[in-house]
Amino acid sequence: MKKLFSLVAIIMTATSFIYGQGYKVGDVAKDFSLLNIDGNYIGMGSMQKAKGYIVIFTCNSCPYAKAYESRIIQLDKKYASKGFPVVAINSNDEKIQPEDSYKKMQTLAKAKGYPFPYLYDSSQEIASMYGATRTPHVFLLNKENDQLIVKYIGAIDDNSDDVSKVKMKYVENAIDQILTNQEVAIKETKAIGCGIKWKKE
Amino acid sequence: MAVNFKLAGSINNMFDTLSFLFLFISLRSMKLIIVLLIFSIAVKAKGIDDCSFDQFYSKKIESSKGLLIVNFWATWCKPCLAELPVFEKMNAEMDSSVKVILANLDFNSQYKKSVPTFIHKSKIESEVVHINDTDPNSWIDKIEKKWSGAIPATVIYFDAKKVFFKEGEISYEELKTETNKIKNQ
Repeated sequence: MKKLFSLVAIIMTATSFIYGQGYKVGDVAKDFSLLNIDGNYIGMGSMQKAKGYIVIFTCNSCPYAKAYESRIIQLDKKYASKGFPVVAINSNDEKIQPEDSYKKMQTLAKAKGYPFPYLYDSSQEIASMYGATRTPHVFLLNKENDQLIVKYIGAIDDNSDDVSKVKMKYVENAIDQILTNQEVAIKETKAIGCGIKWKKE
Repeated sequence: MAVNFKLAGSINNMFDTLSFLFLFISLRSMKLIIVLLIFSIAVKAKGIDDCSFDQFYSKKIESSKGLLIVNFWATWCKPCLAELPVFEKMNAEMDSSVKVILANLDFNSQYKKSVPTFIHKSKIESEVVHINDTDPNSWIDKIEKKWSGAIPATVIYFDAKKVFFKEGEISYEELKTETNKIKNQ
């Protein structure tokens, strides 16, 4: 009986470890300090004037991240001035995916003229704290009473394949709703994407 | 008369040349047709079905009997390609009570080229279905609530009921253990 109990306990902790991690909408998100492509360690605290942040876990190599690259740049161009800058984070292990090394992040950001910080989460702590699983994976944060509240988690829009056929701009709609003091209508979406390349123990 | 005969002869000659030409062309096109036919049969045999998620779900999952292993993958997904041999092995060694379906999620704009090329190159034998829905948010939860949408992801059904789900890579041993568990129940 005792054995059974400990087995159940082990299974429960194991499943909560796998599925209980990460933020849900409404949670308070933690700030971080990560190495930016310019060589400085920055976090959201480094952008004090912002009303919130579009935190996007992305990378250099994933075709989905590539398909969304110009849309991420457009998001920053449209919303940074309105108080919602993009903060892009690459959490992929460069041993598994050499395309996602810090050096390659710098090269890509320079070539494409990223207007936003592109941070390297080399320990993968931030991705696991936030509960990011794939790229691109958006966490939209809003400052409320000096806390960062998660308002939306998910995809950028509803058509990764073809920008011209997008019907729902999930992230834009959510920010527009926050900016006009409305409740965010769609708080969570899912999308196909490349899994984050976790370090092998 | 003689003139007429000559004329008839030349007409005959003309017909001969024409029919020879036709024969020549038709032989060549025949070859082409045969090649195309074989190719289309080959492609059809590999079964690259193109369907919406709802069609896929009703045709392939809801009506399935016995053990069904569904793997969500794409040719752009490196870890997916790395584990495909696991499913190929399962498909090859399992009896007819076990079915493997490789549910492909390549971009709609690319799959017509990328998927057949890959199948041909890697000699994939399992059934491949391309899901063409552009908004995965509308169907991911129907497969599994815990699935974030990252691929690879694998589901096992028994008599159309879900009995196993895993997001991320799966090993041959794990898949074998799971299927044996279900079979022995």
